[in-house]
Amino acid sequence: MSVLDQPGVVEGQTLTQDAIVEADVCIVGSGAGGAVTAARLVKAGLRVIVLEEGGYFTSERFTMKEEDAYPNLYQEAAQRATADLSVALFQGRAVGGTTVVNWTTCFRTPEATLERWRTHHGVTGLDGQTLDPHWSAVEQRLSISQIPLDRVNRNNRLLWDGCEALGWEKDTLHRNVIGCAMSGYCGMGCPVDLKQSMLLTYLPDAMAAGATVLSRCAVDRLESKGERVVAAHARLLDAFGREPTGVRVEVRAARFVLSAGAIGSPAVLLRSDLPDPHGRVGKRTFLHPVIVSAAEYADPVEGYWGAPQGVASHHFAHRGEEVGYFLEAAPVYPLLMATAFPGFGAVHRETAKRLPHYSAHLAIAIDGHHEGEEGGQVRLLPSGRPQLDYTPSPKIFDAFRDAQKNLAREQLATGAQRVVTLHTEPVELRSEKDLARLDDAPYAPNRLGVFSAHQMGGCGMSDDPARGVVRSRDARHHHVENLHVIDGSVFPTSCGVNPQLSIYGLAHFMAGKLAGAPS
Amino acid sequence: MGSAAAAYLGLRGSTELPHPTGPLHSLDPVPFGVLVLFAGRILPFEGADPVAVAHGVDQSLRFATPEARRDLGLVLSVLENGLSGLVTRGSATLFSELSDVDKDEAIRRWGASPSPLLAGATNALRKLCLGVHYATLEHSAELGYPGPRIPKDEPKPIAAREPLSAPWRLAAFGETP
Repeated sequence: MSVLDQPGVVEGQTLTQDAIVEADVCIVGSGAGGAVTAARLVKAGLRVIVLEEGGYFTSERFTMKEEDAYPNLYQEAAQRATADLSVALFQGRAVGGTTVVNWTTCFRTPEATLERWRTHHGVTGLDGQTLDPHWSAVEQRLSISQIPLDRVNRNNRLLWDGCEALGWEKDTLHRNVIGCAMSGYCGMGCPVDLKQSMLLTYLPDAMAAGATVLSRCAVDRLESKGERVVAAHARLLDAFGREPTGVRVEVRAARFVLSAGAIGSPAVLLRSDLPDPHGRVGKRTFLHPVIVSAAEYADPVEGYWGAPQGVASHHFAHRGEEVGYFLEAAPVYPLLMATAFPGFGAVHRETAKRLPHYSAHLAIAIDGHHEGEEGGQVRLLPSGRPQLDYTPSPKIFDAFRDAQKNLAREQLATGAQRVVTLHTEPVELRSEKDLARLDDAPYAPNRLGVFSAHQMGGCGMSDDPARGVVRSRDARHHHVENLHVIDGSVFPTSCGVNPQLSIYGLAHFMAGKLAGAPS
Repeated sequence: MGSAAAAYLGLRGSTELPHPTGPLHSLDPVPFGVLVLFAGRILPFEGADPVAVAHGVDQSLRFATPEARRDLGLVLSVLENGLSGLVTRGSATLFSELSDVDKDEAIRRWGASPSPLLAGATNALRKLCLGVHYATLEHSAELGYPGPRIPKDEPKPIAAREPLSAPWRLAAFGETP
């Protein structure tokens, strides 16, 4: 029996010979979608292999240092960006996917989002009632619970207090942690194995029941014959994930599931010679684009310690014809903040040296929920690597201007000495009367820092093959009978909340369908 | 401008650029040298080593797409080109020949350029330089960052063909595979 036929993690960089593997199901990607799918399918008695481009990093390597975390655990060492370089994209790359580095925030998909999917995007059968048992199963498995207000750090408490002062809706967040040491390093891998990422939950569940996870395995393409995929062709990477080792793996399976995430799943499809008669693959990719407001306080905030996220406000989520947004906090890690602050030289250093005194609050725009909002498109570069063409629309920039004022309002309401935007020429605000200066600030690409930690869409679901890549009832590819896509790339729009629980719930639901389907 | 003059400005080479102190993985020597000078203005204070920063950026770019590496290298070469200098900042003086004050002004102009490639690439290079410098606990302490509160042993270095972690075991389930 080959090592690839045994349950557990096989680290691809250690293999020295090409291999052909056979399985009932081959899953590409071990993140939120792939891990839940693997666990459900293997428990249905299927032989499952999961192929993961990222490395098998466990808590022994979660050093709480950005110099290790970004190259080890993030796509392109956390330097991924949109084609015009205007939006920085933070996306995980590891066994466990982005769940290893996310900030633990869990929300069920809002009913308004599910309704929009049903009424505008040809999705059927997905509503809160249908998904409730799946969310509940995941919430139990991941120990998702609400953080008490007295446990949030000062950075988050300031958001709570600011919203309170202004009469805005707010609440504490649900998180997938057990206990929580409040270290603050969720974004670099939980150093004490308390964050219930896929690394500690559904992947071990799958492996305990017989699944194999092959890490440092980058799938180049899916080979098809007729209307079926017959093999996944992959190359193995070195332990750093930079260079191919020269070893290749071919996986033959009865069924294939793409769970490589937004950008990743469309990229595999684009590299494969599979039908896409309506040109849907890669289109309608959404980002929940984010702007930041940095506020300086007289007393230290120490935003690098404590649970990175504990409070959110959805007070501005629904703004009629305008793009809505929600407010959260962000950890104030030194490299992250130093690179987010604009400028250079002595002025930049003087700003950055006040790091312990900064609070960082975010406005996260809800893209894709209005007519005409088409989001971005994933394309392939000549090297075969994916690139996302996405420029925030004028409506999104309008929302950013509005959000920037509101972020400043809530920070000033809690005593911020000054609030600084992340424009290339930052705007400094010290009182309510300064907010008018934002009316003249440039809200346009590459004029201020815009970020994304939630990538969704690109293989959207719709029962209309002219509008979707996969069917909504089972996430099966419209034109390939044994290929499913089960991850956040199937969202027809952004989901309007932090997406991990939405992906888990959908995966739990779709994998259940797949488990019962004839091969 | 006559074509001969334009050709001269376009082809006029740098007289002296900093050299790498080790192997390069992503950048050619000329863009590397320009990057050292660029880094020297992004981090112009004691304790920052522009050559080390440039080598760090060169390493970091190994994770980027080949196209991004090529584009950033191209932009760095363009910054050191007389003709492009004339177009982008009104002066044919090479970047390496500018005073520190004029280098800073050049960086500001490129960062605000209407060309998305030039503005985006300048900001990307700026962030790469800052990121490399402040990535370590030693330098992030300069910003007042005290480091993690939880003690943690340093793992052994990553080796290209070795496992990253101890083998997965069914310890939680009371069995071994």
